[in-house]
Amino acid sequence: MSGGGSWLPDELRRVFRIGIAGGDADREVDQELEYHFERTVEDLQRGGMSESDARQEARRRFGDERQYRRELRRLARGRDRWSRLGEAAEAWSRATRDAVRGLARTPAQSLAVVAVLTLGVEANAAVFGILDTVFLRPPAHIQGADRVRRIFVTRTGYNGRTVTEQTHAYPDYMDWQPLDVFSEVAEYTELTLTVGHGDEAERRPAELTSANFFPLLGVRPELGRFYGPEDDRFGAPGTVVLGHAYWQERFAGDSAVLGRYLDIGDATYAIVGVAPPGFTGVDLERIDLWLPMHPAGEVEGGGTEWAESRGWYWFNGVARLAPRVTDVQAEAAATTAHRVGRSDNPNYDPEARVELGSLIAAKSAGASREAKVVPWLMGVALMVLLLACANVANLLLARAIRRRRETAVRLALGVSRKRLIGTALAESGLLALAGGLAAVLLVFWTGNLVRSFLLPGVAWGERVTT
Amino acid sequence: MKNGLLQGTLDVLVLKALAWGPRHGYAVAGWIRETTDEELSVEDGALYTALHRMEKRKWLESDWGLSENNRRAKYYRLTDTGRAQLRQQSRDWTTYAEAVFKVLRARESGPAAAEAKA
Repeated sequence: MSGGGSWLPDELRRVFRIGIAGGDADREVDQELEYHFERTVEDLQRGGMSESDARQEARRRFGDERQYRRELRRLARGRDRWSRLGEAAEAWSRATRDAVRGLARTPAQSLAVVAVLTLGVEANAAVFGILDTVFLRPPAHIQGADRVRRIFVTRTGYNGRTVTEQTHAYPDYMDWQPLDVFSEVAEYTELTLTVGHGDEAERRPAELTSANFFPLLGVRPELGRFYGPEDDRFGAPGTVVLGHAYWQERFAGDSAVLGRYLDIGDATYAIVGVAPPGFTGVDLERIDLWLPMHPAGEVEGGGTEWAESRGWYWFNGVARLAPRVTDVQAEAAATTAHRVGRSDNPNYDPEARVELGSLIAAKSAGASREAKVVPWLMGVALMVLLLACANVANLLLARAIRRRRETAVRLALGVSRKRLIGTALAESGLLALAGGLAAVLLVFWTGNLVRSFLLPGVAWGERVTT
Repeated sequence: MKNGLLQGTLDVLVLKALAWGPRHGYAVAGWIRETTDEELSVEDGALYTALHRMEKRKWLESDWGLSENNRRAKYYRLTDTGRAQLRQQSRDWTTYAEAVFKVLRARESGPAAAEAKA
């Protein structure tokens, strides 16, 4: 019934020219009717009636006063709102035009302000991109990431120190695999392998995974397929899945690449698929080759011993919690299974514990030094922004002081304060808008450059985090 | 029929009342009463509603001014649209009234009468 945003104080409304909450309109109607009744009563009295009779007659002549008054108010308020909106729109456009003219008169200063704002905002945007990738978001292409966990083992080693490690032996994985608390457990390990021979040989980052690694994460191939359980056996013909970036660089994104062979290390593998862009498994570094653990492990590990030995701490584990299972429950079950599995070794810490960590590496025990630094980076970026704001405030203040005379003349000419404030706000607004837009553009182009500089390990190029 | 007034005629009365220049609501009410020798009486509330409605339709413009006795009153005046409306509605009303008048003043005559007698 009353003007929009009636919770705003009247002063603010007047500055922004929003309709005063129905008050003015109501008051006008009341005044109009008051005049009418006064005149009616007066005239009737002059005609000989007593005052009380006159009042009565006036009311009778008017009709149902409450209803009419309500209707009149409704009409008045409706009209009011429209005219005020029109006024407001006109005032805004006038203020903007004035602002543009005003800023154009001092181009150097205006540009300076915009530049400072741009840098401040851009620094924050770039760093926030880092924060987002490293801390806030799970790695790309993982479905239901909130149910996926990294597996850590905390134990007191032979030297008496208690450590939390992300690596374990393959048989440990076999202990966890059949557990009900996990809907799936998978293994992976990272290596750098040589592709090709002689002059063409290059060292590429590779990841060996169990076949269920991809289904666990819920990732789908860009081309072809991922290797399956039948490929992940000792003696199976070697298969490889290419990382998306590597596929673009080395094979120019040619889809005929499927079925071709790659010489990796001492063996040959058939290319069966390409991973989607930005997929880097469970960590953030770029991976060019995905290989099934058993065949590749046999070649790179010099045999099949690693599959049975408890001494080869090669492997990282990732697990998806079964529905409705809590971390506490899963950790307990995994710990028990782990201890039972290791019970035949008297030297192994009987108090060893399995801990489940967040998929986001920076949040779990596996956090690298660089990752830990990121929140501080964010703090620094915020400081930069604050400094930028202080700078801008200074510049604008200097500007206002320089324009004292102009302002005095305008006031003397009768320009309302409201309009001057409106212009000032419009100027600041335009500067802020320009700075923001420029920052967005800048971050778009150079953001990844800045991030690669600050955190080189991460595959920034493929992640879309503007 | 409300207060002896055919519906829709209030507007044309008000428009006519303002034909000679701006007036405030009280003056409009008084003028209508006088001119019709009190034959037509309008509820004042209805009158003001008509004024506001027509202002919304942009047939009238309003302004606050000082009345004869130096009190604040709201004055209404016709816009160009309002003047055009007045002309149109007067024409319509006159045509209508004349037609009705003809019927009511008719004497028995003509072929219809001959038939009736026969």
